[in-house]
Amino acid sequence: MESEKNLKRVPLTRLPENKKAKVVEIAGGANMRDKLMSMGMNEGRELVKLSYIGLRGPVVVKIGRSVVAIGYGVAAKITVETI
Amino acid sequence: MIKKIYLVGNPNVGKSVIFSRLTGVQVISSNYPGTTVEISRGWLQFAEKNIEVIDLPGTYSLEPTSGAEETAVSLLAELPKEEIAVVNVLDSTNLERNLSLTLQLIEKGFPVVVCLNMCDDAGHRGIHIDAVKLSELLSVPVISTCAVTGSGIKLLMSKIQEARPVARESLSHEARWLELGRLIEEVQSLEHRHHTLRELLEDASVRPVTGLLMAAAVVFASFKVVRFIGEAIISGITDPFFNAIYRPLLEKLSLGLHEGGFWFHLLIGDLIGGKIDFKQSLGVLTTAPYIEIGMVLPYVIAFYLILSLLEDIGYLPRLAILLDSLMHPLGLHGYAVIPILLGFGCNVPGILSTRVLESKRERLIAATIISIGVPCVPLQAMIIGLLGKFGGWYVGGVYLVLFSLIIILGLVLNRLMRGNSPEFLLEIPPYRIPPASLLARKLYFRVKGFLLEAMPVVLLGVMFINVLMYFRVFDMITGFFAPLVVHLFGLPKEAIVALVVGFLRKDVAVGLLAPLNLTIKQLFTATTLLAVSFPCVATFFVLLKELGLKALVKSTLIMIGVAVIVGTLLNFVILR
Repeated sequence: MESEKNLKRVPLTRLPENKKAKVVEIAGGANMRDKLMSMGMNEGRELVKLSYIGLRGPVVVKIGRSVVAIGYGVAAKITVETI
Repeated sequence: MIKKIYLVGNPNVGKSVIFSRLTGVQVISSNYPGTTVEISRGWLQFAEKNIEVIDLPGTYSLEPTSGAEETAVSLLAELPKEEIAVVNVLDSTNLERNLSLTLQLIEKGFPVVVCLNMCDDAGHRGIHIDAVKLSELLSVPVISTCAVTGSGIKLLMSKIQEARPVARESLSHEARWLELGRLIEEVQSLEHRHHTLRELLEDASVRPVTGLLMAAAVVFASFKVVRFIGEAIISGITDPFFNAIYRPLLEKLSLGLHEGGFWFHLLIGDLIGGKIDFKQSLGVLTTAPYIEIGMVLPYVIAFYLILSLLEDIGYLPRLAILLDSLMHPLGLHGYAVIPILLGFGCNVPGILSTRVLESKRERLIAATIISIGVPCVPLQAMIIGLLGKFGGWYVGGVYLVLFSLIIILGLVLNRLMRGNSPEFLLEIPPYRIPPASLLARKLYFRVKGFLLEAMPVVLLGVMFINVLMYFRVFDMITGFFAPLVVHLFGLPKEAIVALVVGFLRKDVAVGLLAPLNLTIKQLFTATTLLAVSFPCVATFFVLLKELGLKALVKSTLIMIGVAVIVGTLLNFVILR
């Protein structure tokens, strides 16, 4: 049970493209957290990962009706749970 | 009594377009977050009084997380709340996120009028918003507008005086999102739409393979089209004008002047083979207007047409995503692409827009890169005009040197300067098709700005140079710098005048090289040196204003160092 749950929880960087997921945790600096939250990304929110450019470039996600590009370093600190 | 009206809203919702509509003051608006980096102020005729309207930079919340947001929030606290009205501009296609700021404004007790902008675009996307219901739920006036066409603006003006503070409980962040969910349920209905071509293109442009292919195509096409339009204007309009209409006028005038005399020297300059040569005569009435209008202006028009189009469609943030990882080694992130691209038009707006970057470190790196390695349109037009006849390889060569410099400088500065670069976080706007009228206004505004700025400097500059040359003042300066320029760079000492004038304006300076009969090697070295050395006077002042004296000195020393190294290397190693 526990292992299955862990499988579903991944950093945003490892979520497959076009997959829907729910934000579980946003680690990292308070400033970045605030910024993400004011752009509509808070814990519990659903998102779809649109793409990852590669080469440690940004991850592009769709939250609600906004499309947001998130730097690789930040995306690595966002944990999501696949739905 | 309302004393000031503030336009507040998330980034890229069209505040600047509303501002222009309300005040008639033209400001640059584009389809990407962070276009407005300076606070614009204008006046609105209102109940027989003039009230100041202030266009604030976009902010996602009233708890600021960046410099631009801080400015916006602190300006809102300038006057007591009874004396202001807040026009809260929202993007109707993204109501949920936009309303978060609206709730915060109301909770804090600001007198708010809600302006549901881009309502036509929402309609296209199958989003319907019940403005009346929203107004009831929020207890503030709500008006649907489409600023680009002007619909709803009159109504908005009339409702501004109805803005009153309303009592609303202050919510925590989480509670506010729940509240938003409830509001949206009640006022918004969505029609199911199939994926449109636009959405397919939006998607493709942020995916690795298709995105890079699109970027390559867009960049290549932009270069081609700018050159095509520029050349078409020159061969179809400006050259015929100068040769068929302007030249006969000048020839009549020159008959009344004594060749070799002071006025002839000043206004007409030197005759080349007994005739006026617009590129080489160097008179206030000959070469000065020809450089700006006959050589530079056509490319300014072409460049800004294409740049404005890319800006308004919303392509630039996508380019920023694709280039993000390549910019990291230079100490920048992807969004620095926008200031750099603007810098290709003119370094001044490029450096101003480095304000979208967060840290002082990033801004210094970006500003230095722009002022050394990014040639503005006037400079590029002159490089093409002068070197182009020797073949595309030489023109390409200058770009290659500049491009290498950008990379080297970025790598070195990133190593030497303390601190890390902040992470990339950017909202990507949807593609929009800009109405032709909006594009035309923006182009007119930019071209007018170029002419107003460039013409006086060029006319006065050429006049000044001619007076100095006539009285042989330059001989002293050239004597002093001659060893450096002659031995290190392999240039004749007459080229020093051009290098010094480069401080005034780069295009005139390159123009001064034309009559010197330089070899192609010397011409290549001199134009490259002009490109990398000292910024022109306008750039210099904007660097001072934006970075402060200390950083300016640093950046200037880097520039002089780079110019000496590049000149010497070109002379002794690369072009041998």
